[in-house]
Amino acid sequence: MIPLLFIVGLGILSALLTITQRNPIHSALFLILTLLSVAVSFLFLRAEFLAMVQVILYAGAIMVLILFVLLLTARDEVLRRSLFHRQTFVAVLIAGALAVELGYLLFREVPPILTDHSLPHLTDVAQALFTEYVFPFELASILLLAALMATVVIAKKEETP
Amino acid sequence: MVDSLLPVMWLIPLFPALGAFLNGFFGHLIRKKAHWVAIPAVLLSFLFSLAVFATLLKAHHPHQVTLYRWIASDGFLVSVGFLFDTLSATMLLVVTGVGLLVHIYSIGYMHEDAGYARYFSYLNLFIFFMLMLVLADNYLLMFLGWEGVGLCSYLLIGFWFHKKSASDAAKKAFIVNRIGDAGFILGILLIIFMVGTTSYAVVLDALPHHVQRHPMESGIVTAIAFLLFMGAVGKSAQIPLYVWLPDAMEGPTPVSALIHAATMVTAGIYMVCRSHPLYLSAPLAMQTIAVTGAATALFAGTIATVQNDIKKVLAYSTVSQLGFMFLALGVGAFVAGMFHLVTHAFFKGLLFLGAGSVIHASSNEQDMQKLGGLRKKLPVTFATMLLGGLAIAGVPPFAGFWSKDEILTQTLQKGHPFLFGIASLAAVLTAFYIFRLLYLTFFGETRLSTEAVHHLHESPPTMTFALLTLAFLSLVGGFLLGFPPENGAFHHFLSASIQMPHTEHHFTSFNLMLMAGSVAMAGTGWFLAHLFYRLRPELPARLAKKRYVLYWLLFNKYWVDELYDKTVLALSRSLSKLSFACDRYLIDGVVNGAGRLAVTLSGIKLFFDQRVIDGTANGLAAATQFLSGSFRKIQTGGVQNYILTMTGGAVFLVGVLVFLLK
Amino acid sequence: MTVQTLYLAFGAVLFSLGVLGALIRRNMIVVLMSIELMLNGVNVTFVAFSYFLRDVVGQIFAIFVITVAACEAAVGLAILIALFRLRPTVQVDEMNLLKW
Repeated sequence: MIPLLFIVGLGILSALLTITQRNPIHSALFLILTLLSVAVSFLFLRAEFLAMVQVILYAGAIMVLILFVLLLTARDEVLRRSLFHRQTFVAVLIAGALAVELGYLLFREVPPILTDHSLPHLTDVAQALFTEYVFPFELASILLLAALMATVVIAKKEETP
Repeated sequence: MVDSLLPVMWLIPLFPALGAFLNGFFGHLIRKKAHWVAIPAVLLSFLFSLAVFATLLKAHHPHQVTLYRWIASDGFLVSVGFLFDTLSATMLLVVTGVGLLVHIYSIGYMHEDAGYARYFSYLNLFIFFMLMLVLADNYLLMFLGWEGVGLCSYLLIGFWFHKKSASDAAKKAFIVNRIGDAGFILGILLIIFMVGTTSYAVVLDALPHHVQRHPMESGIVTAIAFLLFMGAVGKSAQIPLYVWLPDAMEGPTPVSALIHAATMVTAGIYMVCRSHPLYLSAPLAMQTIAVTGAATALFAGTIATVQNDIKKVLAYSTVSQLGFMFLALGVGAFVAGMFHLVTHAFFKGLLFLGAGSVIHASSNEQDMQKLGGLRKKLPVTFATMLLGGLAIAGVPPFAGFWSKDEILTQTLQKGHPFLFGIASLAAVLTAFYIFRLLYLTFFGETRLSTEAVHHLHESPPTMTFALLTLAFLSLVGGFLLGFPPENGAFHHFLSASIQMPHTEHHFTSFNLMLMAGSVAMAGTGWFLAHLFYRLRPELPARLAKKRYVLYWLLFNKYWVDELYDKTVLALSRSLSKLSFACDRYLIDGVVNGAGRLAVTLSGIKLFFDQRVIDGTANGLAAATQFLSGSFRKIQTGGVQNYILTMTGGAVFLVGVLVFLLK
Repeated sequence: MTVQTLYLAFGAVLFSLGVLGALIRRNMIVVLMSIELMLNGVNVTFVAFSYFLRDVVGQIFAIFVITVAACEAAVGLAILIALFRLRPTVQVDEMNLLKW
């Protein structure tokens, strides 16, 4: 419990820092930390495959991509201007309201842990993925393909004759 | 043999009806030969009438034929039926006989006229209606004939309708007649009300009995008598409805002879005779008839003395003679009245046809002041007219003497000395004006233009035949029918139809004195005429100048027409103007008012429409503009604003879900 | 504080912070990162429930979420690059061409 608590706390802290850092690169770095802590929490839940996927994909690929873009679009004035939007006040209220709602739901009814069933194992995941959920799986592949193409097309430089 | 013909006697009116139909619709095909249709028609009717007469001569009882049911409604029945009795037989002979002669005469007279066929068609039609009138066995059918002859009179007076004076005269005749007819209709209605039917047999029996049983209710019967007499006043041209007859001279002269001398105008006389039981029960009505007759006789006679138009003299003479007839009826001498009707048909018909002959010969000159000395050139016409004149003047043994004398005698004998006096004066005037006419037309130096003199010729045989026939009848007819006075063949014949309380007719010295008196009256008249127009021809002009007021009064017919025009006609004109104005303003008012109302309403609607519709449209537009102006500010272009809004909404919904809907 | 509560609170907090970040920050890339944060919070919840209810579907779903997140991040960044070429800025409130 204690280690879990620590990990969760770390995750929350780094998330907080992500959104409050001035330098966006710092935000990215803190995001990576958050992602990693999430991965560890997955480990505690015996979802090893997912923890790995999280680290490889999220923290590895996606964050790298973000860092690349950050570096491509770096500007000095970013550091000079005000950090927060004009609508911050309202946003805080709304996010707070959301948190309250979620908290309320959370503490009202706690879901039980069904110990009489077996814990889902990796093999279960693989099996489910390729039998019951094969259709979404394939769709996801197509989606990836589409995203790939879209990315290339959108980010392409305009050709000058 | 003739007895067996009785069942078909109802054909008598149908021959001329057929003739009228044929000539009316197909006349344009035969044109100049139209008389070949018309004459046989009348001839047949005449022959059949002779047969009827012969039958009734042997046995005086009446014969009735019902043809068919005309009106059959709840409790009220009128049939088309004919009554053949001695009274109707007399009229039959007069109508068809004189009618036949006039038809023959018309061949010559109307020879060159363009409307030859139309003329004969109308003439036949007239005969038809007159026969219906005479033969009818009930008042309603008689009224049919009554109206029909009025129609034919209109058609024939206005025969030359292109001439305004002719068409005006026709209208006048019809309208004045109508006034009388209004009374007649009311009389018939009262009869229906009182008795429930119009059949002679029933009515003439019921009404007198009614008066006998209920003397207090004699007023209604008298009223009926008066109303019927009103019709007679119009049809037979008595005061005050005589004014159409002189104007009716616009028609062709044969028409004047037939309709306005011999037949139509006598319809009133016939009607009163037919209704004599009714009149005997209404002594007040009879008195009125007598007074009216006598007054008219004198009145018209005075006017006749100074007229210059040959036909006008004869017209007023007719009015006067009709007055004599009514006088007879009024004093109760019904047979005498009928007798005078018959003789009058002879000599007045003759005089008119003779006048026609004169006019025809003198290139249509009707003014006697322009005639004269025609005796030598028109011997037949002169001779026959002379006979007619003697007859009308009442010179024995000519026809008029017997009938006129009888009337005068009866008047005096029945105790009306005043009326006798008036009638005697009228008789003197009669002789005067007729000899005046004869002298002015036939004697002395001719005043015609040399051109006209050149054309002077005696009339063709078709015309002279009629003249001669009538002259013969005027000569011997009176004597044959009416001698001895009040006891002659005619009286016996007619008494079958006219039941009178039998009084002994003694031929006394009193009667002889009266006869002498009548002759004296005729002689006086003749002498005065002889004096004025033969011996001292300058006298008339001098007298006229000296007593010019009187002369003017007479010459202008007492200005009766003018009086009527200023009073009755003026009233009727203003009434019609009033109705026209009413009509126009009311109708136009309504129509225009409706129009204006519609315009106003639509104006309101337009206004409202504009305001409301436009208001709505504009309002909508303005609202849209305003709203869109406000709402566009939401599109900030900033994505985060959108996210904020969305998130806010989602949070709100979730909140609702979570907190409110457990 | 049960373990369930802890995990779910973790997921909720991550999600809320992600929302907050997406609404607050002016830098577009940080916004994208906040969205990734939100997705992560969701993932945590899914996997936690997969553990609680012993159902594999939670994990499956989490895999798909990650897949979609990857696509979305890629495409989003591509768009950002394209926009950057137009206007050399990554400030959100300057991307206001769709303003009325």
